Amino acid sequence: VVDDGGAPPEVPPATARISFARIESISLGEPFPDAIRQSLAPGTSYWRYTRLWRMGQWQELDGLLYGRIGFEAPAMTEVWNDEIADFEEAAFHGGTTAPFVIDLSDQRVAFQVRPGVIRPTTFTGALQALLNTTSVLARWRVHPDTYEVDWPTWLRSVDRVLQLRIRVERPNPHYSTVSGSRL
Amino acid sequence: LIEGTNARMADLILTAEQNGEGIDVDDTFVVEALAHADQYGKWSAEGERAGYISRWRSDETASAAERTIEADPETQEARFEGMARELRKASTPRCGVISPLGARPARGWLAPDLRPSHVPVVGLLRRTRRRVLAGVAAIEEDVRANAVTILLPEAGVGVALSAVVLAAMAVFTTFFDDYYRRVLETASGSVRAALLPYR
Repeated sequence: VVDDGGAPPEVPPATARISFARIESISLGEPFPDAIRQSLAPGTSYWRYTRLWRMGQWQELDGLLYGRIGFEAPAMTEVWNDEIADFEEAAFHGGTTAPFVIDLSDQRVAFQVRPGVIRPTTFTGALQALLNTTSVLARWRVHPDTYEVDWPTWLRSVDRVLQLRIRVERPNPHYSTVSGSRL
Repeated sequence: LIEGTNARMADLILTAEQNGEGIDVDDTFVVEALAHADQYGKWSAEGERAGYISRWRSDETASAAERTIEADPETQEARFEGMARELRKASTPRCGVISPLGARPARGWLAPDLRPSHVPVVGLLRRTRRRVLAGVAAIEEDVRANAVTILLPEAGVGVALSAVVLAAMAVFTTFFDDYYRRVLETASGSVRAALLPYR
């Protein structure tokens, strides 16, 4: 730690990334606002892959539903034990939550993305599973709010490209051989 | 790059300077990599638009909007009010262009005359399939939007058909009734004579 003798260093404000999705009812029945209120049942849980997802409490204000889903997953860590003077394994429950806001007027939801842990499709899959767990009659589909656009159009729409991830694959094992070229 | 290293695939991550001009997508290396990935691979991009982050993926040929908002410094959770504000502000434009890099070329390792798109019947079948699927999707949306309106007349037609069937069954049951047979036998001599009066 360098003591500059002055004011404490400025801490940048904490930021979070949010994304958007659409909630679609695929069953007949009550209108969206009533149906979604019934399907958002706090305490609902659903195992998805190795994570136990849970629906937290929610509240409604001005046509918006504020809530939180999250998961817990069993994990192992190594802690120091003074008695045996060695490290030992200990189990614990890790987990992360994703707060969300649902707009009852247009069936869209904004949610927090946790890079590397809760991606947009992770959230939409978990929310869909939790909504469908509540009742066998009310069926829901939650999908990321994307729109179709080709690469040149998207490029023109952005001011600058911040990151580009390209995966180039070898077509087949004999791509460069004569026989491969003839095919 | 791949052939030289004997690798099955290569993942390239190009990150721009924080306050720079951004990735030059017209650079020869990038252009060639994208041209190859268009046929053999995939790519995704993150761009900045009016202070917002926009993402694009080649495997979905779709873009998803993301926003960066203020978070709770202790829990790192996004603040609800910020999410609500962005939710009401965000809109998703719709456009129908699908293929990345314009029209997607056929697989390069097939000879031109063997490519599926060059066989007239295959092309026709593909176009027909696309149109049928688009039609089904459009009908599905319409049906879902007018579900109750469609369901009520459908149920009415079902009830009407059931009533006709039940009435017909009642008539047949009456014919096979024992008392009716006796009346026929008394009046006409036999059931056969009643059924075939002109013989």
